[in-house]
Amino acid sequence: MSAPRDGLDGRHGQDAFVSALLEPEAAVPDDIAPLRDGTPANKRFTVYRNNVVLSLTDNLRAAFPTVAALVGDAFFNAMAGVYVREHPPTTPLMMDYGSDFAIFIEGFPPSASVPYLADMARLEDARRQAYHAADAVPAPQAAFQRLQGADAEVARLVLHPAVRLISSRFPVFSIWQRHHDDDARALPDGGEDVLVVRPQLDVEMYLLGAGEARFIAALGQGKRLGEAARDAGPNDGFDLAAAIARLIRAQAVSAIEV
Amino acid sequence: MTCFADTPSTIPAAAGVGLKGQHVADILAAGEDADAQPARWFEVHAENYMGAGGRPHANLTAIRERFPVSVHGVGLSIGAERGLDPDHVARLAEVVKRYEPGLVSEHLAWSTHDTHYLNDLLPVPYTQATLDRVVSHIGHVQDALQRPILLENPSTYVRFETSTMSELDFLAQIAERSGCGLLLDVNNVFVSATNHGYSPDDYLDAFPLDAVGEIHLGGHAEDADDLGDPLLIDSHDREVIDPVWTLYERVVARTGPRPTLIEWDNDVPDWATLADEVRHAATVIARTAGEGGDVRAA
Repeated sequence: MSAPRDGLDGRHGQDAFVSALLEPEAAVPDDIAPLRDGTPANKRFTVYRNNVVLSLTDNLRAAFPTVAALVGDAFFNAMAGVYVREHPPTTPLMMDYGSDFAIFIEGFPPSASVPYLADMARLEDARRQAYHAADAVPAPQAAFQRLQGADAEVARLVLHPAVRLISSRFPVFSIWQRHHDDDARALPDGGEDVLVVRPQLDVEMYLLGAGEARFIAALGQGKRLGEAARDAGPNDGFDLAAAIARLIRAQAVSAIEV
Repeated sequence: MTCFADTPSTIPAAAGVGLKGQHVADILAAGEDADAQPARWFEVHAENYMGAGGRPHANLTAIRERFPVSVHGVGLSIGAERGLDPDHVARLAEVVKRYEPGLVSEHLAWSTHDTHYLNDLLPVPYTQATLDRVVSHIGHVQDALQRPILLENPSTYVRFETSTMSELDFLAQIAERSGCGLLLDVNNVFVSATNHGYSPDDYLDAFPLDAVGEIHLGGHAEDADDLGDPLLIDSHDREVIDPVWTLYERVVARTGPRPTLIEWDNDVPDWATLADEVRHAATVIARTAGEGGDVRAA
């Protein structure tokens, strides 16, 4: 028996195997041995098909538990199944898989009845990124005393590598809390800005006030304190002292360069 | 050529277990208490430690300070037609450099294609072309890591009409040509033998045991194919079954003690349940050693 030229003679080789894996109705590739009665090894091949879809779906469920809870397992499995087939991973790093799940959800018509679902996926992806981010020691509270001098305006606050910001026109922080803390309080109207941090090993979140997300984003772009405060300034109610106090409490800054 | 047979390992010829984050506190709390914590070494999936920082690295660092660790890759795709991903080889080398594992292993399988990663261990046909490709890929990996690796025999659910040699011949030639060792997964032998209708005893009798640097034991699920013939699935989600323990006992009776790993990756139980499985393997190893088995693999 001579080996076929992979992928050229009929449906052979890894091209054919992958095509058949990702299409539930596709025939078993031609180079797979049939069963003892000569019929195609459908159920045997389906083990691989199921392994791919189910293992990737389980990975998504582990990474996006609140998204899954909001829509229920049946809906989540169906949605993840479509995503997995249309967007298989591009690297073996499962900790990165689903980084564009939120974009997919936005364009997935059946999820339109849960309009905040995509932003919840963004929040959970941010939490996962923070969980795996590089380690860094947060700047101690004493370091912030340097901001009381005349140079404060030009100081740079270096954000901790785990810091992520999520701005939503929905109350995603409150919805997340309600699912994790059994908090039955009514959801607020309007959107929420969330600061995600991981000072040591545990991921934490803070609900931000007016202009704070813009302020922290500006710091993240390397802008000096004065400029970052001016970026946030046009928003009614931005309070620079409160914003700095929150960064201290959240341990979101790893260095202060004056 | 890098050669497994000439390379000492820090992994003891004793029972170990796949490390799960949820067990780390129990393991560390047990300290030197061998009743509460029978594992002498731990194995990790390389890809779970390719992030920048955070709890995975904190956990593994704490374990590595106290125990030998082996690194088991699941994403290198050594059987891929499209070739190895140099970025992933570099990531694996970084994990190996950071944790200095006693053993490094991968699978006879593929999981990448073009830009896709399929997250499953897919089968290869046993042909001369596949053999040449796998040997070449192992050579690249061993050069990059500056050390030999172990290659694991697969669980398979289908066979290829294009295969021209047996799995045993294929594995033996890989080891001989690449200098790599073999990781003998006894559950995979049982699963593949059942699925394809051959004797696991005959397979193990002919297995090149001198090349075996590590043994895996895990649980599998039972299903049936379209004709109702048994179809076992390598699910790593339950206890090792008795027939697999019996095969394992026969193997270690011939090889003497070898590093033996309990794998339980899905529906992971509490530490006490997992420790029972580790203890079972340790008991088999101790009995073999007590009967004057060959202990050189230490």
